[in-house]
Amino acid sequence: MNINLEKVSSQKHHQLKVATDGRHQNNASIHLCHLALQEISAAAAYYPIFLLKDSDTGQFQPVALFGLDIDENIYQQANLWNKCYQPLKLTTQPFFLVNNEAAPELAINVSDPRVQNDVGEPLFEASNATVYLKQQAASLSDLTQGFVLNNVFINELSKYDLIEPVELDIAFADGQQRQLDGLYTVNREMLEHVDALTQQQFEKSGYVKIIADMLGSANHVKVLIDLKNQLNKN
Amino acid sequence: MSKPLRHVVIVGGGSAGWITAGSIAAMHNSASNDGVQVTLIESPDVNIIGVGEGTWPTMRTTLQKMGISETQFMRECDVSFKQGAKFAKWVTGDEDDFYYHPLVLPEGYFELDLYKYWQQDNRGKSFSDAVCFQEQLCEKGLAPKLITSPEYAAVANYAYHLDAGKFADFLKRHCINKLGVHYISAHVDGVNSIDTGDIASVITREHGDIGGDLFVDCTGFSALLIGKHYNVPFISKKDTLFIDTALAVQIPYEEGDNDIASHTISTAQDSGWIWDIGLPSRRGVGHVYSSAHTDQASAEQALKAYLHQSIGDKSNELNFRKIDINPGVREKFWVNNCVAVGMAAGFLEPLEASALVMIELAATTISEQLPANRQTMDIVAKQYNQRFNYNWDRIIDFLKLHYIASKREDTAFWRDNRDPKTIPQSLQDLMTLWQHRPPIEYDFSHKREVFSAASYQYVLYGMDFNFTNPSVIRNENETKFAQRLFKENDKKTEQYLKALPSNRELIDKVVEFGFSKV
Repeated sequence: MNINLEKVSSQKHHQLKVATDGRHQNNASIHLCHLALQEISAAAAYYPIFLLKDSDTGQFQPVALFGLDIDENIYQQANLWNKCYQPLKLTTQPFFLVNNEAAPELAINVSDPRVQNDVGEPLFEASNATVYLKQQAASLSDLTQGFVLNNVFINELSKYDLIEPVELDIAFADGQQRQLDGLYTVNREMLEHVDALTQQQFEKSGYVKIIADMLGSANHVKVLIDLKNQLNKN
Repeated sequence: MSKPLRHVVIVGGGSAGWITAGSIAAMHNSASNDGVQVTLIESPDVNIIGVGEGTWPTMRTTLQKMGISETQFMRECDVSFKQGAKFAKWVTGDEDDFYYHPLVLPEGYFELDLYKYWQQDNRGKSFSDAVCFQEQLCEKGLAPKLITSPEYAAVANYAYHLDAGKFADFLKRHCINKLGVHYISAHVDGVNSIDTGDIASVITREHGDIGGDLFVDCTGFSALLIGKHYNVPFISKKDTLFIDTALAVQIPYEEGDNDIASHTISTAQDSGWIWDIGLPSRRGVGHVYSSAHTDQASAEQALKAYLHQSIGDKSNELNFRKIDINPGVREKFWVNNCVAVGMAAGFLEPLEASALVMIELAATTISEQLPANRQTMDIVAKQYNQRFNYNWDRIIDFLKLHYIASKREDTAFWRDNRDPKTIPQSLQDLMTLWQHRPPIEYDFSHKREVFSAASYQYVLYGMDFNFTNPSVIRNENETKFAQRLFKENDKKTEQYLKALPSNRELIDKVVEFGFSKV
């Protein structure tokens, strides 16, 4: 996808609209998405959640898995995508926050095919930001804050050596096999050995529920395999 | 006689003292009440000589066993990655003369010896390039791993370049704060012995007598215990390894050119060679030479000429630090209840970065074989002395190989180096064998060899591709397998060249983000 960011301005973008109908069609071919800490539990109801290292920084980030191969979105293929939780990272598109010297500024990717002048939600009405634009800005701010919370969460997990690699050995009904590596999760056993005070702090910060939801969500991998077996049959 | 060993006293800090202290303390749980106690006595005013800034890949295990975070180590000791050594002008002395001794083993090393297949058809590639992808990573200045690789894990086997002074300080803090090593800052003025000749205690100026069951001499050249007290002779090796003087200097990076070489560069000179080691903050460069073959003024001139190529006229303003190298090895390392580690045990020129690796090997052997009591100590000592005599002899052989495989005739230094009188019999024997077959694992079959047969192959065939007589290849399956291995190496080379970041880029990321433990 081309990215061509422009700072959102009522003068330049007063005619601009974003097609929100079927707006996730662009996401047909993504196999994972970063999550913000506050949405992990919601996303865990639908997707397997793991930790993944950012290839640029080596830092762990929570991700939702949509497929078992690069560019594969099994939820989309099985027509389930619109019924599932939509992560902030996707719903905030085609908007982004860009860093300016003073404060982050709202920007829009004008190369995104959803951005045009004809149909969808306008950004401005009579030079005033629409409710839609305000909501998008608020979501972006949630997302940004969520990534900061992610770092705190990950640092805590690392500090107590709670992150462990998972290797998923997947066998499909047609005999094909695949090994997914590079995924990590929380080590349940080590978690039990964390001292009582830290346990309390984890409870207070909501980490205990987040970790439990994340560990439970691994079961969705089986769902993905089943869905893919179905899709392969048809 | 069978009193259990409870307390190890290390005299002297530096890399030797702290690596030994850390290795024993970590393995024998010194931080707990029932562990073996470790005390390190360091003189408050002895300046530590930072021997060498290059390590072997063994350092990764050594640090990991001490419970050290690689990220923290790299941040605090000005560390860069080292993927081997590039030897320039060692063979003919021509401008384009170079070969590599990489740290990754030849492709399929434990399955098939690729040497003879490469000799038969080298496809225009040097030995190291044909059998190992690492030479190209070094030539392109790439790192041996990714920021997503866990601590100590490698894509390409690697070691480190480090600031030896910072390293000793870092280990000291870790040993005291994390591993329960007792630290005493005091001068050791003498020794109290008992009638068996064992050391009962060392006499310190500031803290009186300090007793122990085993004493480790890490006092460097002064060899306070093994030399001054026990009078164990120091056997000079100058007849074999001529280099006896070093001129060292630190060079800041030029603006706009701050690439960090991911290998040690060793460039041969008329009467010695120049090391060039890239750390994140500076380069460490030095000329080691034989004072019997050249004088200090000429050696300085050669070093300035070398530096002029990279920093121009600034090379005229530098001050060089002169260091004497007295190549040699102690006749014995373990006497009674005293064992020497580091320069007190032996010191050789830094050609293959053997100083730190020998300290690690000594520290590991002492901790793994720590005698249970005084009764078993003499047996352990006897084995230790045999093993380390062997280890030092192998290093001497390996260093000497670099000189005798050279074709240089231009100066007396190079010609004298090939005089059979200067070559140990053990090496002469191997050279005779290797005329008919390549170096193989049978030649170096001890546990924990310092240099494997692969290292000998890289140097021997890097310097003289036709040293070994061509062998008749009779097995067609093996030939096919060899072709597969060559292709595999080509494939890996291509993949890694695409995937790996530059050495500088990764080091900057380690400082900013760090590696994960997993």
